[in-house]
Amino acid sequence: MSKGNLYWLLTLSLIAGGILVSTYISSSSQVQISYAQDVKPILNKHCISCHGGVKKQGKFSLLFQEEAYASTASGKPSIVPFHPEKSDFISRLHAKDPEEKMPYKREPLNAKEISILTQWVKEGAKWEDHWAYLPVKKPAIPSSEGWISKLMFWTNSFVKNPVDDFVLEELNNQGLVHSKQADKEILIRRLSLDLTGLPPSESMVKEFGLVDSDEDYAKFVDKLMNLPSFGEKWASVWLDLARYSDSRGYQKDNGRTIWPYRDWVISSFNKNISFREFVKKQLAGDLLQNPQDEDFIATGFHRNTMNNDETGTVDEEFRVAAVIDRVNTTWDALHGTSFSCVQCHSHPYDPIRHDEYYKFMAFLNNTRDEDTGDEAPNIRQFKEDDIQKLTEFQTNTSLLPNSQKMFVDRFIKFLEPRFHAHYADNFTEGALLGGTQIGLRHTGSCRLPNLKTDGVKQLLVQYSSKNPGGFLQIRAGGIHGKIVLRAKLDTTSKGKLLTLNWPVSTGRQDYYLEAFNGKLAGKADDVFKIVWFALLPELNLSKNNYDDFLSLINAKTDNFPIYLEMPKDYSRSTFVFKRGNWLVHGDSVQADVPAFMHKFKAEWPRNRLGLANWVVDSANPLFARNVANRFWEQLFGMGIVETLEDFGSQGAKPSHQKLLDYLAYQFIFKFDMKPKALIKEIVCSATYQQDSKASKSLIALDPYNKYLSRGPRFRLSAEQVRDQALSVAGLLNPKMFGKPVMPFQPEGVWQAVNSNLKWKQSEGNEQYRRAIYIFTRRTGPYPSQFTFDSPSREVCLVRRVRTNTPLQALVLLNDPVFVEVAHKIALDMGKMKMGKPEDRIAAMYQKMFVHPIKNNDLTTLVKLFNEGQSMKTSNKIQGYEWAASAMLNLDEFVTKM
Amino acid sequence: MSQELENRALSYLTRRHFLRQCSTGMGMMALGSMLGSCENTPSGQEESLAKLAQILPKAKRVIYIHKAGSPSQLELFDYKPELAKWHGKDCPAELLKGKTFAFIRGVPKMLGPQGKFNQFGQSGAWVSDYLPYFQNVVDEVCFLKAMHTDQFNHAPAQLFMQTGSARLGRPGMGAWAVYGLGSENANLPGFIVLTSGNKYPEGGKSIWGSGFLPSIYQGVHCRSTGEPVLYVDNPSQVSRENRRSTIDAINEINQREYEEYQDPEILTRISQYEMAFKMQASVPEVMDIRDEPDYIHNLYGTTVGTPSFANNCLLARKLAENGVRFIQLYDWGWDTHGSSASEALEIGLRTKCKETDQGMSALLFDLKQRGLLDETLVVWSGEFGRTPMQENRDNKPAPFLGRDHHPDAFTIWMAGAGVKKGFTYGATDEIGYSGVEGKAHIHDLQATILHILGLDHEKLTYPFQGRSFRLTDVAGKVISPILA
Repeated sequence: MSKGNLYWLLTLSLIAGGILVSTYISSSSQVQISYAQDVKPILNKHCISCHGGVKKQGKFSLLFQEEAYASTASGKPSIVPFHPEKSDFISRLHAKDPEEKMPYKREPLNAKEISILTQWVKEGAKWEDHWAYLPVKKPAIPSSEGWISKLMFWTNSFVKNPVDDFVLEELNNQGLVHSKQADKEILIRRLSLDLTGLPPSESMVKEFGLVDSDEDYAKFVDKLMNLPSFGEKWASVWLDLARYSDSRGYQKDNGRTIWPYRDWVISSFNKNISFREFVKKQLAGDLLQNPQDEDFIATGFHRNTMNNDETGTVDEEFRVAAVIDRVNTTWDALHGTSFSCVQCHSHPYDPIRHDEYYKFMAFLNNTRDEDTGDEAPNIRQFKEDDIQKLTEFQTNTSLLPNSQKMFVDRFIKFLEPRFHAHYADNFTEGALLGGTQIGLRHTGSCRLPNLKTDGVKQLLVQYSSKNPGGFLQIRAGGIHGKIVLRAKLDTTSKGKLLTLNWPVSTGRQDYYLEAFNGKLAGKADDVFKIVWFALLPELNLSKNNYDDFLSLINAKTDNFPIYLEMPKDYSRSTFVFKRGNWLVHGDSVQADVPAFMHKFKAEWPRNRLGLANWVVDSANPLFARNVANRFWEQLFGMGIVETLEDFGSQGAKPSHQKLLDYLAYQFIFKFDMKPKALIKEIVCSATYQQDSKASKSLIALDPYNKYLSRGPRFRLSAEQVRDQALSVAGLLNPKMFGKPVMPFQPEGVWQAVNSNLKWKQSEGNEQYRRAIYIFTRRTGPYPSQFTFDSPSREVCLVRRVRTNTPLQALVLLNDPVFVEVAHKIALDMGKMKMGKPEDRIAAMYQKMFVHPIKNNDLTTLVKLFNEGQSMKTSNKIQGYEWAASAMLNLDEFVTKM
Repeated sequence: MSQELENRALSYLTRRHFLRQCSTGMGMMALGSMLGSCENTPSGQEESLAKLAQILPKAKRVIYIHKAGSPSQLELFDYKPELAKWHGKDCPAELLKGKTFAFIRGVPKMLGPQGKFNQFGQSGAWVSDYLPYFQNVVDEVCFLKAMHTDQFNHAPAQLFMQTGSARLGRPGMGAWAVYGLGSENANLPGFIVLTSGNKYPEGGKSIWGSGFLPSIYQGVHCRSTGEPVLYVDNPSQVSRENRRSTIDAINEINQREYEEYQDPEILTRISQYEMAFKMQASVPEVMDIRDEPDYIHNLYGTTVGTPSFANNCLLARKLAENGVRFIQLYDWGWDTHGSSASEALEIGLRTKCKETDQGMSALLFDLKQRGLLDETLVVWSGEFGRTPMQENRDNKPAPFLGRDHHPDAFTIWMAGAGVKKGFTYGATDEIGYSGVEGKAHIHDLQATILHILGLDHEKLTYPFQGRSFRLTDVAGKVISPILA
């Protein structure tokens, strides 16, 4: 800044009536004001709640660049670049008249804030994009140790990889120094818990003892990451984002079989599949070329939304709720952006417009799921006997014309496309029973709106009818339209499939379904009930083959909810919901991505698959930064951006922006988005390997370890707390995958109304499976997990807040699972081959904590042991039990050091 | 009250002080005002608490009685002689136009009131013969007769009533209150929930959950059988003295670890083990009604050892005496559709009233005689009301008399600190179908409860996923005509 400018500013400030020359200006006179760094936080704090996405007082908004420079209600722009003196934006900050003064009826800005805004306008009011929305570029790696230490290669250099250069640069800026490397026994436990979620085995500890170089260390890390337990640890993190649950939520909160999705996530981490594939399959696996079963299973990601089974609920309302949840989750989990704000109005702080929400929703609004009781669409897994039948059927029909073959195979696999009972409307003498069945009485009717019947040859109906003599009839066009078909119904109490020939008809129109049974005249009984129907094209199947087709449709299968797209003829339109109300439609919108993000390439289809390509595209500024930040947070306890959930201008500023960009860049361009490579880069850094001890003065300077002057130290996750305890007691059952398990749980934790879901304790060592396999029920989370901050998985949880409560103490002391663990550890101590109790306690401590016990700690435990042992009871190992329980409760045991 | 205000200001400062300590990681024994600590306080939390305005608090605590299933206002409080004249006639088409009901299909019949109504007390409040005990305490009560909600199914309506949102994932009212005010008691949780009626409410535990607030604010559900709080009892062979020894050993080693690592979380953990030890004594003690004198048992109609709503009423008084900030009693079984005897207005509803009338009336009486009613706000509600029409589920006449869910008009009552005594606010039309004056929405009720506690519902916010959330979402107005 020139002297002239400074003089001018001084004058301006004096004219404005305040003595406003702050030290800020004089001290930073060389540095240009940055909109993103300096100006935007002031606008967010003082201005934008009235001049932004929610309100636009005086027709002035600071949300988008073009709005900020546009004419306002006064007829001229409020900001005049280079001319603070002509800018109402500045002058009204100084106004005396309370009607003129800004912020209106609120505390005025302070002198420093005013001078920043003034200087910004003076420098041309240059707009900048928020850092997180800029493309990911590789930052220059600082030579943080200076050339002297680099030259002195024989001295112990701190830096092991570029992560450390960035960290060291910031430590230097803060006047802090790094810590020494942690002891091996601390480091091996840290690594093992971080990478596998379990404490290290004795052989691993031994092996790590021999690690002597950075190369050895890296190989050891690879070895840990190749253990199957790696996938189980990291899948837990993803399942919070996916709001994975074994129940459906809402009132009944009935069970849901979607555990194959959980298993797929575990396997994907173990296979180290690229996050490009990982995320793409979850968003649109069903739309890939030749999708495999596991690609459909992957789409369970967005089928983890809640499903409302309560009678009287409007299925469409909860279908829309699920789609909205998917939109929000896509942004929360993959982009760290509070997109949900835009549901009702433009974003209050970030440059996202109201209608952009619904354009984005249009991508996700065309899936087959409709909040039905069977959670359709599902991928069906046939039982042993039926698999044989299925194989035979497939062989027998292998010569069918291709389109027919595809239709029957798909129908058997997914029972799609079909129409659920709730498709019907305009009932007379009938009702949608329990929301799941069309029920019509004698002379009753309902409408089947807007059916497209080109090429339809047959109507397939799943019905039940208790009273003999019933008829079903269908009319075209209107309630008095031409009769299309009429059929006599067999009585059946279970659902039965009825195939009716559909007369030649083309185009789309409404049809009317009618019911007759003279014997039921005047009675309240239904002639029939229909759960679903389907329109079949021409199928050249022999009678036998068609019978097999029907029996495979009727076969009882395990059903796993998946994504399927609506048939083209029935695709939905998407509208803006005015003020977020799903019943109040605004304009119709086409699928598109928000303008502040990277471009949607022309070669991508405008559907979910295109959207998936867009999310994982290298140009996405938020995706890789989010992944890198999340992995960092898992390992260090705090993200580089502390607010994992918000990378917008209201989120926390990154503590090491260049480091985050470096990791994101490596992740995209060097690691092919493979998770193991990213984790390896982080855990191989010297920063990660530091000792976590701190002095009082360091705690005062950097209480959260934001600047990483020491190693990570924070409480273990709920899953780790359980798995570690079972593991050190030798109780852990390492079996992977499959149906969720039910370990011991006290009576009465599940008491949901109208639900037949029961907690049935798993038998044998099934109850000692890892926490990730415990049945998760949304309205009744497993108590000990919930107490240690595992979420109830109702919605996407981007960040777990760690608490420290007395209830956690009660779990570790008294939960029968932990009492059993203590008992087992005591038994093990009792069986040890050494003589003295103190040796046994010391040996067990070494096993549990990996390092030797300190003398005074041993004295404390031995004293407790003696007290327990001296009690007059029949329990011969009571002293050991007490010592074991105390060890399980130590801060160090539930903490990653 | 100025003394109370001063105390409040002080505790508020202490609390800020606490949060500050906590957010810089230095939290330790300054937990006098709350149960627990949070390791990482989200940025902005402190700031949003700082915005809390000082409103003169009228109540120190709340006892909220929720009748899950929703009792019929037309049988209990909202007397509609005109509806009797309509009894058995088809429901007029204009009442059905554009409406969706949970179970009513087609054209239902109108259903006259099943109770015999009379006026009681100085205030002349209408109460039916379903509630003979309650008739005696109406002069303490403030009725709101034109409440309305957005939801007509149990789970979403309960969530809406208790968390301000029909979707899962928001904090319950009690969690907000404790978040805003802290707890008054160091040995007990600030937010305690008791349930009766053999089932939890349909909305599940989420209705007293902490949502996105740290889990220390969640309602602690005290169970009526077994341990009152999960895992509060020691294993059978471990005595209280034994437990003391174990905790001493744990804390001794943890203290040494602190010397070495200086992590303030270790100090918090030490204090939490002390708190757990205290809770092991205080929770079973306060949850035990055996030592209450006979006249108290007679007053409430309680039987030791038999869980009941009446027992919970007595426990609510004990918890209030012990300074628990927010006490909720959920009683299940009020869903009178008429589809079975237990859901019938003439059978099931009478049984439920008989089970609960004495207990809740005794609670008001007992709080008053102890001077606690002046500092405690009692709220009674369902999650919605019942229709003036008889239910015809699946378009068939029901076997018993029953009413469907009705969100448009229903009665709730409040009593005690902060509200007018013997007062009725709002009225419905002559058949009780819609509110015609003094209508109040659920968010208004929530704003009012917070106001009486001295909290501004627009300022009690918490930043989550990029925006500030509050109990009343983006709505709610304090119902000032009912304020004392």
